[in-house]
Amino acid sequence: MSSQTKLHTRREFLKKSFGLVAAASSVPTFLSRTVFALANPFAASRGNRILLVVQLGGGNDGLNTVIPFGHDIYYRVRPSLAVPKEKIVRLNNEIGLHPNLAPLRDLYDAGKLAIVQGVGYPNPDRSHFRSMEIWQSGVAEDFESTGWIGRMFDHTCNNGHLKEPCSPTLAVSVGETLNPALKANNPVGVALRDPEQFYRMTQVYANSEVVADAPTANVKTVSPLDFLRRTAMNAELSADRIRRSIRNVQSRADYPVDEFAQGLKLIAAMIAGNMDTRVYYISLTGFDTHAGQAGVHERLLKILGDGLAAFQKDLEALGQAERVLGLTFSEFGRRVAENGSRGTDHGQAAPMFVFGKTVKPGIVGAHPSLDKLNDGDLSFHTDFRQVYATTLEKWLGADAKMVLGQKYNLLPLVA
Amino acid sequence: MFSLSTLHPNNWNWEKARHLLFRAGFGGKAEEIETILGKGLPGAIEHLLSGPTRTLPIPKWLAEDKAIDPRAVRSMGEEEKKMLQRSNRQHTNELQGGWVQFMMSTPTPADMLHEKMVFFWHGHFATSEQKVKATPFIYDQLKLFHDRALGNFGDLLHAIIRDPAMLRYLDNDQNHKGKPNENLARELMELFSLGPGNYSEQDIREGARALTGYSLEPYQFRYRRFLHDNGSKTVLGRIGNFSGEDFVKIILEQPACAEFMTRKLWVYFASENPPEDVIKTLATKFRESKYDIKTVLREIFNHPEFYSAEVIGAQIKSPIQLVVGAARTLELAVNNFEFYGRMLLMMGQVPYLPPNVKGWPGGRSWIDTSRLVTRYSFAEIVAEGKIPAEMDPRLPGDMDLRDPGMTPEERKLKRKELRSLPPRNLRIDFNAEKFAGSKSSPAEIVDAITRVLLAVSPTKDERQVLIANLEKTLKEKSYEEALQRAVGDVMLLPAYQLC
Repeated sequence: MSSQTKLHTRREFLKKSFGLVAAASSVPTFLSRTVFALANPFAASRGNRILLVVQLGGGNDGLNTVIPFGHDIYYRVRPSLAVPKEKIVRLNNEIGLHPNLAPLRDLYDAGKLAIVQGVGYPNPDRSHFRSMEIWQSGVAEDFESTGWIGRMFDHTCNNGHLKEPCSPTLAVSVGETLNPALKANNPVGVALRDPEQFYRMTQVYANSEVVADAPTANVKTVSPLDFLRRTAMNAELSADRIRRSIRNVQSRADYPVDEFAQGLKLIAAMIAGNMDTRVYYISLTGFDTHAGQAGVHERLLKILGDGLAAFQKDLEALGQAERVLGLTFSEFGRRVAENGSRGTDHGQAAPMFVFGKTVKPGIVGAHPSLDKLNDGDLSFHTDFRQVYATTLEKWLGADAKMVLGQKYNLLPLVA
Repeated sequence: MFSLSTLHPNNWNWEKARHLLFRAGFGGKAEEIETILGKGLPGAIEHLLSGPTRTLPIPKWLAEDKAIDPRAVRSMGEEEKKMLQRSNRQHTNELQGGWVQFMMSTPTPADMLHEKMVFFWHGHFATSEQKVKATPFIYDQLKLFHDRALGNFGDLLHAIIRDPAMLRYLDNDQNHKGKPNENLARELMELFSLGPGNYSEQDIREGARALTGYSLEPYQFRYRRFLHDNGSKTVLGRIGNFSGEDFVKIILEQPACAEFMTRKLWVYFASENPPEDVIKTLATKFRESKYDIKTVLREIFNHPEFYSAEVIGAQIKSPIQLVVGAARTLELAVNNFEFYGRMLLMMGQVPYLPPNVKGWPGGRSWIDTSRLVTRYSFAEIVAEGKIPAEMDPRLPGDMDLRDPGMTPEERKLKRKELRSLPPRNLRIDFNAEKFAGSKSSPAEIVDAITRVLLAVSPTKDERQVLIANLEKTLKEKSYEEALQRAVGDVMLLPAYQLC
């Protein structure tokens, strides 16, 4: 903003004129008691565990990510895009990783990576928009406006068994807008790219006089005005909390300079800074490679691999690795055969990575068959909600059936 | 004399006139509220229902876009395809932004209600440019809503099963005899007319058969009779060799239809929790009028419940309501649709970009911390009269920082480049005199501003801060600038998010 300094002084002015809040400290202590003591239902039973969701936007080409180099068909249908056998980072005699994902093989070797193969959902939709909505909502059978993460908090706080609101910082999405996966009926979660800018923008309205009763009221029953006041206060307090939590954290890894890696660096700092956040969400986009795929895809995989490796290294050095589990997904994979433009079109099944120090390492499920295709696409054999359900139940200790609407078979992903 | 379903004339006052203007439309100036007040309720309603006075402008490139043969595109080279995609992207943005500007520049309250109804139909028959893609689809559908916004709902429902954008969006161009696609048939009943619980899965299957062959070519409706299923169908208890038109007629005969539509209109204009007895009464009148849209709107705006404490100031403004309303009330310059588009995107509501076929869920779903912060940014920009370059895409291609073709590095560079540009001014033809009149004390000015801008009075503390701020800025800035700052301060209040 062009008017940063003005805003800052304005805020001081607002606060001084209320006489309720000391200008030096941005959060009054009585607020810290009320709001920051708010429900963190996952704290006690599950040892402050954290989930990181990495969204790969555009439809990542799963076949050039986890590569079935042992199958001739792969080389036959991808004359210009197939990665030469000798360059592939092998995991076994059949499959391997793209060379730019070499850092993930290190994780694999260290027992910190699981690869779930052939993930998708029934009646796949090839629209980016709809398919991403399905992954974010965790509902493929209907249109659902809340996200799977958001619903997890909905089912726990407020109308859930806690009967009180969740702490506003339980979910943090790094980016300009709140990821739809975090969308809840009772808003939890903040989105930010730059903590300082987020802080400045939340401080323009100092709603000090309205907070006394707002935070404890149930969102279903409060008036729209109190709902707005509460959200305003949540924004203000979250921003302040994030800013303070990262202030004294020194990163212990060399992150690449790209935006994705820098976002991960921020997340690692928030984790080490003892935020009460249980779910972090970050996106990397550009995977819609219809033409001239090779260069673009290589570059994106490098960003992904290097970023995640730095993140993991940082967490370990910061002593936080035990409590963080990460997963990656994309809205769909791409067609098996390349198209006439040295690219690939929208497909179906694709692999997911699940990583972290406490992951149960290995390869889950077989690589989808390359000769028995479904309309030119790899068929899925594992529903993505099995991965969600597993992380909900086994990692976060949430009720997966409540969140996902039905029971899914769990996968061996968490040690 | 006075019926229970009409507000008593003795209760007609400034607050209610403001409420009617801001709900039937997006917002307005003090003198418009005065005009509405002066007409009395019946006069005011007729005044509001007398639009539109304008026709929808035709984009200069429309004929050119309509001449593009989709089959020819397939055989184009990569570069040519890319160029075409880029121009289509640009034209789509112009359509979206152009509509927002068109809403902002409504010359009369009647045009405003008309435009608000056009937007209602867009949300009701939600269609996304992300799927239909080609601009002729979007423009023609917008034209349909513009032409029929205040006409007859039955006509609209008939038109929608022949609307190319809808046929494409809900895959009816793939609904063939012997190989039906049920998407349109399902939404036609679930979302567009009856609501869940008023039809069976069997009705969907049979209804889909009635809609077979309702296709398009390339951007126009085309009935493909060889793809139409001529067999006998059973739909909602009726048996016959039904066409799509017959299917729509049968739907319109259901009492559930008028109730569903009346409820949806009540939620849009009045409140999230419609009183069921009121809905029943109004729905009967709607049905008796054979779905005359003006009739049901007249009933809504006349009803005492519309002016109750549960309704006034209890609706969370949609982003369109917020941004268009501010532009209209404050006479913001409207020549910068990229900026407004970006604001709306961050607030979660861009025309022709609904989350799905259900449209925007509205209510509290508009608000989360990041969206609220975006609303603050908007208020600050209005207050300072400057648009930071980052919020102000001004070069071709800047519009969409989310462009999936952009790498993170490119995006970062673009942001950096944008940040380095000087902020542009947001021109506000905001006439302080109109707000404050001849009043001169800061308290009187603040009261005059909040009276127009807020549906809910500020708290005592909030009012004090507003007055103190204004006293201070009046010493530091020009009178106009100080008032603009005071307006921005009011827009930062939680109450400003309410309508």
